Amino acid sequence: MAVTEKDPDTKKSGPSMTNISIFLIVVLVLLALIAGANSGSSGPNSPAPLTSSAPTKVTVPSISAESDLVPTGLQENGSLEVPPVSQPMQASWFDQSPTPGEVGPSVILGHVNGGGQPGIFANLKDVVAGAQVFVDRADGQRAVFEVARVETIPKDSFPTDAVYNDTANPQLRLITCGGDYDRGARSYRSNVIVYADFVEVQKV
Amino acid sequence: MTSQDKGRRFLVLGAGVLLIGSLGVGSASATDYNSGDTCVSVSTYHHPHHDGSTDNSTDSTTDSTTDSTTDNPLDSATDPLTDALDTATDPLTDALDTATDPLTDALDTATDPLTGALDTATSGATSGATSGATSGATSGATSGSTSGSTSGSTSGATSGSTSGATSGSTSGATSGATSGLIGGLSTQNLRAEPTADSGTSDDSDLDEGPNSLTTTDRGEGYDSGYSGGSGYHRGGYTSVSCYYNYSVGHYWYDYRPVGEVHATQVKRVPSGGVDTGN
Repeated sequence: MAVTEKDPDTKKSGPSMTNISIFLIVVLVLLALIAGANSGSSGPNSPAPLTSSAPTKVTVPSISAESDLVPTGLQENGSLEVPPVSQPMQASWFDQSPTPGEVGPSVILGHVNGGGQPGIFANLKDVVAGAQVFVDRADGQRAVFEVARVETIPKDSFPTDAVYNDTANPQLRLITCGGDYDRGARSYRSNVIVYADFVEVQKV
Repeated sequence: MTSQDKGRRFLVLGAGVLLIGSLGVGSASATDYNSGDTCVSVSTYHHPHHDGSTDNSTDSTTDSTTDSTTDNPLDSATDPLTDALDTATDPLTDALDTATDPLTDALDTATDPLTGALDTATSGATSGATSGATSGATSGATSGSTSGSTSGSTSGATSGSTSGATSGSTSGATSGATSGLIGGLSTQNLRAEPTADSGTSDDSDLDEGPNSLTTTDRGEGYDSGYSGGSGYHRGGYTSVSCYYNYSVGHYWYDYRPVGEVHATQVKRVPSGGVDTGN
């Protein structure tokens, strides 16, 4: 029985090229997977998280909002305490959340209006992705955040999980009122929520 | 291609597949927040049976104390569990409450207008009313409600004599009116309906009662305007999600269509939205 033998050169170069191609594809796929896995959390250029330090001022240049920060906690009913409505230009930091720059979602609140006057976050809904938010800290560092997205969500379906869930990197939430105004309840029906990622540390 | 080449090719392919697979599994596990589900399944009828360390500590501070003071069935304080047995409001207790029970009032010649209307000193009326009230009160709400409401509401004045004549009476008109009265008072018999009381639970957190949460809880009805969503579906009427609220140290009930909250970086998770405008 005759056995067909191929040319040794062909036999050597053909399969090896195929193997090399497969290997390259596998490597590319692996690289893509690794890059995809990293993109979900902190980017390669994200600064290292900061240690805890009380925030002192928040600035949103794109809407010309700037306020020093006071700590606020929770009300007896479990909802967020907010700055006095008589001081609508006063923003606050939720003191049960991480300080800005720490790992986790730091929460800053501000009125959309109050006492017939516009509030510090009157135009928060106009913030767009990519805008920067600065938070000065008591340790002399400024945490710089970049807005990832802005949402207006009805209060009765407030995304508690998205706002307060643990995060892999330092993040910032700016929250105010928005949407339709309920005259009967004298309150807005929605909340405007800005989600921002920690991108830089500056010296104040 | 020789078998050796084939084998080499398969080896490379296999290695690639294994690498991709392992990487995929690794990345999935690294980002799967739900894998470490710490919340509990709850429903409108099944309270959380998750009792971790944080819950215990909560019990010792806010719940156990409450239990010892207010879970006493005789306590007339504010515990919702106790309220079910509260002598002031408990339907069961009220059924025997001689001060307020309409059944008894039906016999109260001083105050009951209905009885007063019959209180014309005829012996037939008196005996009929007495027997009716006694059997209704002592032999149980169920039988009382059944017979009373049936005869009273359906027959009433016309054929009230059917039952009325049996129990009461000697004189047709009066006894008929008596049975009609008892039938008309079927509402208090119906009050005997809520018999399921879980006030004997050791822990009010885990109590099965529909409103057994402490005063600091928002309770099952919170945001109940929402239905549906992506909560747990275990034994409840509707999809219910829950989250641990650190502000009160309880698992809270929530009908909002939100996912689970895994918040350890935020020390106390607020409830609901933010009221930052008026």
